[in-house]
Amino acid sequence: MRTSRRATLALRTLALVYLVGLLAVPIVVILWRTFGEGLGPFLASVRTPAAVSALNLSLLIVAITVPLNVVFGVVTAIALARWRVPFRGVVQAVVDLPFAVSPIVVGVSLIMLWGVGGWFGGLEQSTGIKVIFGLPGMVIATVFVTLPFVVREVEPVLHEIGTEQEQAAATLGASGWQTFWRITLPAIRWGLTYGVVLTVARALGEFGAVIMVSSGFPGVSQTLTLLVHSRYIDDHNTYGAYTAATLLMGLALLTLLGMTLLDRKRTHR
Amino acid sequence: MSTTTQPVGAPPSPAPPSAAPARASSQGGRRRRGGPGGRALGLGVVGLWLSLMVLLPLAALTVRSFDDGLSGFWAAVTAPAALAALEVTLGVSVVVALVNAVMGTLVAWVLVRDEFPGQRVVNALIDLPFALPTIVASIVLLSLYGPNSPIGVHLNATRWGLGVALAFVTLPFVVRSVQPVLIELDREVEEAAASLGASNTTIFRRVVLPSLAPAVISGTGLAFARAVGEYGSVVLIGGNIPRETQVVSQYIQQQIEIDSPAAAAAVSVALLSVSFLTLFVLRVWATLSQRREASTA
Amino acid sequence: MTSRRTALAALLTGATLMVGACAGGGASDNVDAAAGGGAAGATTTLNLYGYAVPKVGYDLVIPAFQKTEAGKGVQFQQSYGASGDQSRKVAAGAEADIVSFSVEPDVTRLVDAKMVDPGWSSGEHRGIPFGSVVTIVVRKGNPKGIKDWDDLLKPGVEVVTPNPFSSGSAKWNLLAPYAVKSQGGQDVQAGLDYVNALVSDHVKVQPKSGREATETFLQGSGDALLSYENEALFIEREGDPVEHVTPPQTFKIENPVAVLSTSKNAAKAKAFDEFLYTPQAQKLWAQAGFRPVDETVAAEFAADFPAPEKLWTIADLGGWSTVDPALFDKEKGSVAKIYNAATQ
Repeated sequence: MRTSRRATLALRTLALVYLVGLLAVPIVVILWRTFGEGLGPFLASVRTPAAVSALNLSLLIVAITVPLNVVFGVVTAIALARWRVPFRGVVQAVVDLPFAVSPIVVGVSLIMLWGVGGWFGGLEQSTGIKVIFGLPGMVIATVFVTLPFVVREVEPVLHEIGTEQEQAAATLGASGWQTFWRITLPAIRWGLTYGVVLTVARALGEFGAVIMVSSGFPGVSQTLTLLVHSRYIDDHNTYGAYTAATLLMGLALLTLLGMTLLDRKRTHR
Repeated sequence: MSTTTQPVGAPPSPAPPSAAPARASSQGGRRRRGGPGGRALGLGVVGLWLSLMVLLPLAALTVRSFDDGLSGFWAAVTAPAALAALEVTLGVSVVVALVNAVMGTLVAWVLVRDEFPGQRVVNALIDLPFALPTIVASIVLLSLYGPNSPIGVHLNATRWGLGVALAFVTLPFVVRSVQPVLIELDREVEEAAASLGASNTTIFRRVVLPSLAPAVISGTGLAFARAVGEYGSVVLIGGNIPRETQVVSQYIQQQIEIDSPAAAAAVSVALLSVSFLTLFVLRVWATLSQRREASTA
Repeated sequence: MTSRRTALAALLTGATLMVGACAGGGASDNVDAAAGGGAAGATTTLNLYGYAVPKVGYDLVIPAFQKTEAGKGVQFQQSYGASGDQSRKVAAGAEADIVSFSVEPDVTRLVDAKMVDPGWSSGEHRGIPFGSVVTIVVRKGNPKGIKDWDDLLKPGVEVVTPNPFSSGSAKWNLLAPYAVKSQGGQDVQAGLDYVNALVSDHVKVQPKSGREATETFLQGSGDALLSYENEALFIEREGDPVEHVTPPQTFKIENPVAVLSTSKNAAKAKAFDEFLYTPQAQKLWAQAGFRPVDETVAAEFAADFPAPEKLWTIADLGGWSTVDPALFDKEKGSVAKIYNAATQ
């Protein structure tokens, strides 16, 4: 289908205007609002103790979530791709389920399970571990929303590479672990990394699920996304909200860059 | 695989194409790795992990939603404010999904068939809404369309504002699902049709659109499923006005805040059913159309 | 190969930058506070759960307390939100030592949960260290000419007030015209008729807290905002284009503070609670726009806080134990019924 020069230009203009209005202009505006007063006020605003703690907490949650998702995600992917799993269809659906759940519903579900009066509500009295309104709750919420990423990135790779190499290694006397470390892991490495990057991006940015289970103490249980919200609403500090949002956006852009580069890696394997 | 990225936060395409043959070969082949004991352990771990993280919370939610019996559940879901929130959410989501269907296809077309300077940057920009935290999306849109709008457009606390926020976060779904299909589309058929004298409109309607339709529909469905559950991006720009701009997730949060957990759970189950049903229909439809394709081939 | 190196380099640079940012953190969102508040050595941390509006006051009072003998080395973690929601969170297990709510029933919930001593309000000031009055915030120049409660019911006037089931502010906002119209609860129907007309025809938004209501109003929704006088003073000082009108007859707001019996640092929490009533702290509250309860301090700041013609109080209506179930019970309360009907 060959379109005329005019039609091409019209389509291009229409698409670009839509993207510019929806994506580019708002981002330019917020950058201008953030840096309009210079770099100094921006740095001061993202270096307040509360902002530093929020960044630390966000990174801590990422640091706990990622290994959990890597270990359990890879095992789940291997199980789905290689083993005879009972009720495979159901298991596949359960893995996809977090994509279909609204973040607020995630928060409500966790309160119903772990909160006072919930099924596991007795845990706090017996062990003193505070899940809801504590770090564990925020981590569990983040794990919930990021659970599918690693599985969904690794499983297709496992299907694609097939089992020949693994079988050859086994025939040559390699143990299960040796096969995994020497054959399987190198093969899924880029898919896994991509899954991790997606997990990091989502974990840094999760808001709805986390706000439901956080006690909201600045410096202790406030992640960067919660800081943006509380600065905007509770502190009446619009500029501070813009700067924290810009910081998060910087992290997101970094992730996007990583994604783009990794994607090239992954597809030209 | 295509050269485009799978959207972050997107459910994978309803039926992974590589799954079926590979599964067959692995089931036919000899099992490797560890004894049956190791595998049983692995399966146990997987089962426990998925149950603890995903199933148990949702089960607890469902049970709590029937705390006051079936009538309590029904009363909570059909409370006027709850119905109004559902109506607003579904209405705006449908509109946003349709806008996505048209604009997403258009953007994908321009990215694949057109060539212009800066195209790769634009292509990379498409994924931005997935990488950007939703609360940042909200504040970004608020800075442009909010009360201090530098262009004098005030969309906050209106359905337009909701629509813009949802269009922002769902932008990549249709683009990223149509793009790969468009890349692999056989252009010879189009050219044959053109040489037989078909007009561009005819070619698009009779040749291009039928091939793109499955991708457009699945992208639109995913965008819809995402939109109905969205919270973070609408929280600052939506306005949370009952019956006008309050979406279901905000209503659920409000029920928790006013200490009505059973009502919150009931409406959560209703919302969950909507998005799950959407994804389920998409999956069934994708399987059916794949089968149809296979039988005609 | 190059692109992989670039990718890794980019990621590593990013990681380094992040780690570089990870210096010591803290709770304060104020750069200057970092220098002053760093009391090293043995410290106690008090968790304060409050409604959002008095944060401006605590920002002054807490540093002052930390300079006293009793407050030395005491660090604070502060959580702010909608009063009812904050109370719900504490009852649901959020760790708190001291609570600062907008309305007494939010403390009563904790008394019922056996987390606050039933005698919390037995002191001289009945557990109320500061208060305010209900006021009407309007746009600069008062374009709609709103001066009294009846002006809010004029056609076309849109009023912003939060959701009374999560916000304490909203309860005060509705009690004010209710008390005025019902002559202190004598003509209940007249009071409810006013509330009904207001909620059904003039209130469209339901923000969760008084602070969110302010934000909603400042973002351009509505013609009038019902709020605390201190909140009105706060946003006026921030330079936002608004002004406030206190109706001739309005309502006295009394904001309770209580120490939790479950607190691990009850002694320090108690000390802080007591500090709130000292003349020094009372002056700081007054500076932040709250009406002090200490009479000497109140006299000193009398010019800043004009006395309305008639100030109704919760006691005039029979106290919270009467008012809360009658008006604000989620199922049977008259206001709840009005709200449910209004959202149909």
